[in-house]
Amino acid sequence: MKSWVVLCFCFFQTVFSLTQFASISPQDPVLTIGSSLTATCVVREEFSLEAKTLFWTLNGKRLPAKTYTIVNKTALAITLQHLNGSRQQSGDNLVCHSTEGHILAGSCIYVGMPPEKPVNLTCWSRNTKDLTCKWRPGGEGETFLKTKYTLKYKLRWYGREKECDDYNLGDPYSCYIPRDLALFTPYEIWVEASNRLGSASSDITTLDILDVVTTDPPSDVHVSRVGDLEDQLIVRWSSPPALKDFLFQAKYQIRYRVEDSMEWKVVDDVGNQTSCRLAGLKTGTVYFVQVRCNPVGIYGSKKAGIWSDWSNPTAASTPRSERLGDSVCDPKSGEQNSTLRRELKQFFGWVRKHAYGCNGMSIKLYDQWRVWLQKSHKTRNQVLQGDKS
Amino acid sequence: MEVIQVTADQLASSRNQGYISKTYSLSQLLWKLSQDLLEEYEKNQGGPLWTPGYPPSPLYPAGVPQPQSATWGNGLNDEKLLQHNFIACISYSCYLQVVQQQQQELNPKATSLHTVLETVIQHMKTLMHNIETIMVSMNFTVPKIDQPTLPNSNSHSGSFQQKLLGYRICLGCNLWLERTVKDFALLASRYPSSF
Repeated sequence: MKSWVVLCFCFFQTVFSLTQFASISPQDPVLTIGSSLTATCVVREEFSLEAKTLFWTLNGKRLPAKTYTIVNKTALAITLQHLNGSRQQSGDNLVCHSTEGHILAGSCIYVGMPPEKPVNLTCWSRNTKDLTCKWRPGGEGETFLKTKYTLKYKLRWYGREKECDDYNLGDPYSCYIPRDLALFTPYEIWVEASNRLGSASSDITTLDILDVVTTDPPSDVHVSRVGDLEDQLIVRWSSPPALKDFLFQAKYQIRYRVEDSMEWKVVDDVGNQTSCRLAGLKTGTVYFVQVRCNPVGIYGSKKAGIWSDWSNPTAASTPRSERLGDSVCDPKSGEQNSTLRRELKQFFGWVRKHAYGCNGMSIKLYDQWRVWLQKSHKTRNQVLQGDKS
Repeated sequence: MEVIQVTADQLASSRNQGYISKTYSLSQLLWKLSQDLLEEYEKNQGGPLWTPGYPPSPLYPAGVPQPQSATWGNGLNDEKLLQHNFIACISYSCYLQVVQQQQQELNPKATSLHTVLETVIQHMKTLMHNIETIMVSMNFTVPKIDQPTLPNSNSHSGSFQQKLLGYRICLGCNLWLERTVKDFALLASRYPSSF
């Protein structure tokens, strides 16, 4: 493929000089909120424009003549007082016009505040391999001026200062360090904010990578019945694979809910086991279950650790009670049959489409279908809410 | 079995038809995108860059006639037509990259603007490839262009001048692409596609 035109830049300069009817000074001033500015528009003599015929606009809005001062025949000044913060980060457009409105020259004014020190700096490591940090801007947030945030870190006892260079574009206040992190030794981490009016540094956070470790959710989470016991289910899982050899003291947490409720119950005292029995459940009810892991004590760390995300939900149903009451044996004529029939039809349709490799029907297959149904209802509701917004 | 004999010229011609047809479609898409770019650009510069009745003049590349001039279209042979479009395409691709650099500094958070700018730049590269391929297959001379050095676009001009320059480039690109659509419509009629 052929290469580019080499004289782009030179051509730009030629074009610029040909179209400059006037010049404004200062160019691109940077000011704090509430300050004043006097700018002067000087028309090039060859264009024979008199200063008294010119006018000014700021972001397209004409400025009152009482703020103008005629400096000389070809120069008109304007004084702006008590400036507000810039309307956009590219600067407010202060423009000098001829009497007919033709633009003669422009200057961008940047009005804002110096940054305040960033706050709430928190960091975590995934499986001890990396470090992600996030923070919030200090004070009331953005300062009307483009502000650059730099995450810096160094080993506390030795080593040189480094900068994080992988800033998450989706979140302007986070950064990711992917590799080359030392363990068993403290880091000092901080964030520097800077804009055209100044800079500020956050407080220094000192941490050992091992004290801020999180991990993946537990894998292979299964929920099943406990024989014929109507009010119990047993949950089994495996340690997160990445750290499975190091999670001697890891803690787990389970949460579960009935199918039609959003209220989770949390089982907190699971400890270090990889199975747990849930008791006191309702009979004949579908339950959704999730598990998460805290790699506390990893490599001997004394700190609390950070909980992983919850595992994907998995479901099972408790056996239906054998004790039949009238309400179960005497279905209302027509109504329960049609509901059950419809549900069975949906279930068989799903089996045909998604579970054609499975051998025979089982309660486990039915429970998987209930999980799938729940997820697809949730997705549909999110789409509908998204459509409404 | 019926054997169809095709000459090398016919084969080249059929390839050209395909490329010309595709390039015509691409130029139509690019023209639409350049209109979106112009709107998005103007919206993000913080106020009008020109007064009603006094629009800034478009920026046109050196070395090619202006798109509205009588020199284009019927007055040019196919080779000249393609060469002018090729030079203009490369020029605007270069200019738009400078605009991109400037806007990354001036408007770093203008996501929509940056998205449409990047899209236009990428499609311009495809357009260049296509035009070059057509010229080669038609045994036309491809203009030789030296390796460019993209400038440090913030070094000399004030922010307002940069905003205005960017607008003039987007405007020039839009007007030139309108020209390109007409040129490739003409080429497509001269080389009607049978595919």
